[in-house]
Amino acid sequence: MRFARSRRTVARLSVLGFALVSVLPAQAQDWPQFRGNPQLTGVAADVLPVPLKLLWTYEAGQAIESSAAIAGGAVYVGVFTGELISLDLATGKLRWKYKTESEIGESSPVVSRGIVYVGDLSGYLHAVGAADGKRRWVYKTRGEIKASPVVSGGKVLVGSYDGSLHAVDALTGRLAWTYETDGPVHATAGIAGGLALISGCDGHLRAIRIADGKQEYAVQVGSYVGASPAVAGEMAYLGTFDNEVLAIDLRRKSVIWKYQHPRRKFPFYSSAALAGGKVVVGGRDSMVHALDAKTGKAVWTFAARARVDSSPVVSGGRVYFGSHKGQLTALDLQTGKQLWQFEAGAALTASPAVAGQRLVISSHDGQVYCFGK
Amino acid sequence: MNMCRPAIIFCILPALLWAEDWPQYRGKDRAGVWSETGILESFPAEGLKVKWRVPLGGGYSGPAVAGGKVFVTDFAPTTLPKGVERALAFDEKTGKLLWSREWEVNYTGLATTYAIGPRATPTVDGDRVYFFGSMGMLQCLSAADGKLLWKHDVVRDFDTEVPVWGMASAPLVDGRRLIVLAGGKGDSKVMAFDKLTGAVLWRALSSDFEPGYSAPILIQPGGKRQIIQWHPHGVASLDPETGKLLWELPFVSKMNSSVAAPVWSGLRLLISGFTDGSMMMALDDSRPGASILWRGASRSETKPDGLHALIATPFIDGDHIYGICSYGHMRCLDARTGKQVWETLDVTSGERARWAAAHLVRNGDRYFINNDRGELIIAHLSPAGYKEIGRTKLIEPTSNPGNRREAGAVNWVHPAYANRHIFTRNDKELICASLEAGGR
Repeated sequence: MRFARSRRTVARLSVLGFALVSVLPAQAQDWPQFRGNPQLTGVAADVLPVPLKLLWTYEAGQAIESSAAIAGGAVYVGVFTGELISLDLATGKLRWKYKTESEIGESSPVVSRGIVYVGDLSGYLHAVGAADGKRRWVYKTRGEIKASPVVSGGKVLVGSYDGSLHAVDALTGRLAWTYETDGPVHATAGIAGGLALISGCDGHLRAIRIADGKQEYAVQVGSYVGASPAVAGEMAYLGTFDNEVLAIDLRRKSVIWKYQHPRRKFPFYSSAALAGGKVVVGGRDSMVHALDAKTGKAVWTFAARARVDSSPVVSGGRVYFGSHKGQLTALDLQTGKQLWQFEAGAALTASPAVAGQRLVISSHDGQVYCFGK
Repeated sequence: MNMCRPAIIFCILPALLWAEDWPQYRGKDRAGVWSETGILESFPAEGLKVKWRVPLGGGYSGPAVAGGKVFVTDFAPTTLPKGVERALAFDEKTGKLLWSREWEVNYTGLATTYAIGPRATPTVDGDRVYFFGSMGMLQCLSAADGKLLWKHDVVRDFDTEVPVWGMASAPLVDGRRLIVLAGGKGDSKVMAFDKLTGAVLWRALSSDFEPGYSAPILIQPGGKRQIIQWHPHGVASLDPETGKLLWELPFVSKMNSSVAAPVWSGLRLLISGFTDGSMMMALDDSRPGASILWRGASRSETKPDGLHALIATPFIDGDHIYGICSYGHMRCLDARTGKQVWETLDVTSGERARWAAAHLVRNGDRYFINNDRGELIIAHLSPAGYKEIGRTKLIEPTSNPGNRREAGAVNWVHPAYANRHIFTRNDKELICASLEAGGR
């Protein structure tokens, strides 16, 4: 009886949490990190204008897999040249470039208290002044960093292919702790109540205490995970390499539903967006799937006709995502109907960043695109 | 003078008779058996003598050796993740580069850590050699000079979705057909091409899921020829002439990770995967058909039941199976029941390491095993245990080890054994070392 009551409470909390995130997206008009906020919900505070117009482009010289961060009127993005670049959001003009030790892959910058943090494929975590592009410190892990750093509790948290989650002091770069898993930590940490939720190639979603680096609990997901967990209240959602999207109840520490397309069985690499009671995620089955967050049933699917590794972003009732064939598409969140599309001409595996009524996304031919009114 | 000639012929003849090429992945019939005699019994104390070494770019694909040439592929980055894949041919005796052909690739969508080059071993058939690149460039080249005879970009031509670890399955020649795990849209997961023209002969199996990575093999239990393709949802038997599905048994592989090749022995057929373990099938000897003889109970890489192989294909030897399990243990199973007989970490150097690998090739009553530390081992494998005869350092491991940081780097390449030599590569060089008795 007590158990039953507790489960109902959990369910209510979960729904409440989900609703809060859905109606109260990021408070600041910035997009300071991968997926826009520490819960990685991919929901923008801004409502983008309709239709979107291309305002400017910037040629970065090499492929870009890193999703942009936007803060204080500046865009920050990592490039395969190994450069972290900062552009003026209004004009697209270069503010500064910072050279890392090697290529920057999927790692997206996070901006916090005037410092930009990003990981590179040599395993270095860089702290760079947001205003001047000067190095503050670097921290070396033993494997490539594809995860995006996040900042919480004065620490920068980043997963590495050395198998560990690293926590370093945000101001000094001094190691606070590491937590070693059984495989590369690919995904960006989702933050939930003092815990960092991480996943990767060890088949678990692990909850690590940010304060001391101890594992609070782990939930078996049974597969490699390329996506980062999107968190809403007591729930986390993520797609896996085992062709499934999972809903994980963080209080019960269990998977409460699994979704697989009835016919097409392909991995999910894209991280989910959470909005309007839906879990919206791109698939390597060339589709975007909108699932009922409570049940995991498909509300709609959209045939993108190309792999969607780009993580969708929701703004003003519209879903924005890139595709492997270079299409930036806007869908209606409720129906999945296509509203708008832009042909970039090269793969878009990065995710959109939305702030200041502008959308920024980068492509594999090294272009940074900014759309707005 | 006249007396010398028969003597010379007498001396040369045995060598010619027993000379053996290695024209494809896992050698003749993809059986992992090397039949040459006159092979050294143990390694010299100073190690193997490398006859030649030549620079090479990155890649996991093993070499193929035929007609006096060594064929291999590599990759050189230009502006990452873009780069150039190459097909190369070297003189078997000297290592001299004979020809190369290159094509541009974009490794977008591949797991970056492992996006260092092609995976599939070339397949040689007479005067032609077939290459299959990581992003699906299938090419038939003239073995003599590398001239392009035909090609298909399977992504462009058949709308293939390249899986996260790239196209890895070595094409198989059967008669006039080239059988390819193409992953084409619709019912084109497996395709047969006219090996001379590249024309599509047949298509088989749905591509509503990824193709996986496993190489097809040809079996003929009871004399009935069948193509066996292990894919992420099961094991399929196809009619080589038409591509018609003859039988299929379900076997769902987590993460679509059907990687090692199926193993055929008499009326037994084995597959083994990293998380989902092994399944032994009993083949019908009167008509195409199969049933499950046994299957391991575990679906966990960390708590394997029997054998959970990943990269290295197991070996069936009589009533026993030998293979490398998920964390590097060599295991011996009873082929009749799947029960474990013994295990050892000695083969992979004592490190319990995820994804550790070692390729097994039988030569006479012993095995040549190359582990991912770049070591070559000679050992006897029997139900009584693992008995190592010798071990030598062969090549420097250079590939990114993923989370195996203590290894520093790994070498997951399947070598070629041909004409009393071993040929293998890392991401920097291709080498040839003599295994001939007497050290010539």
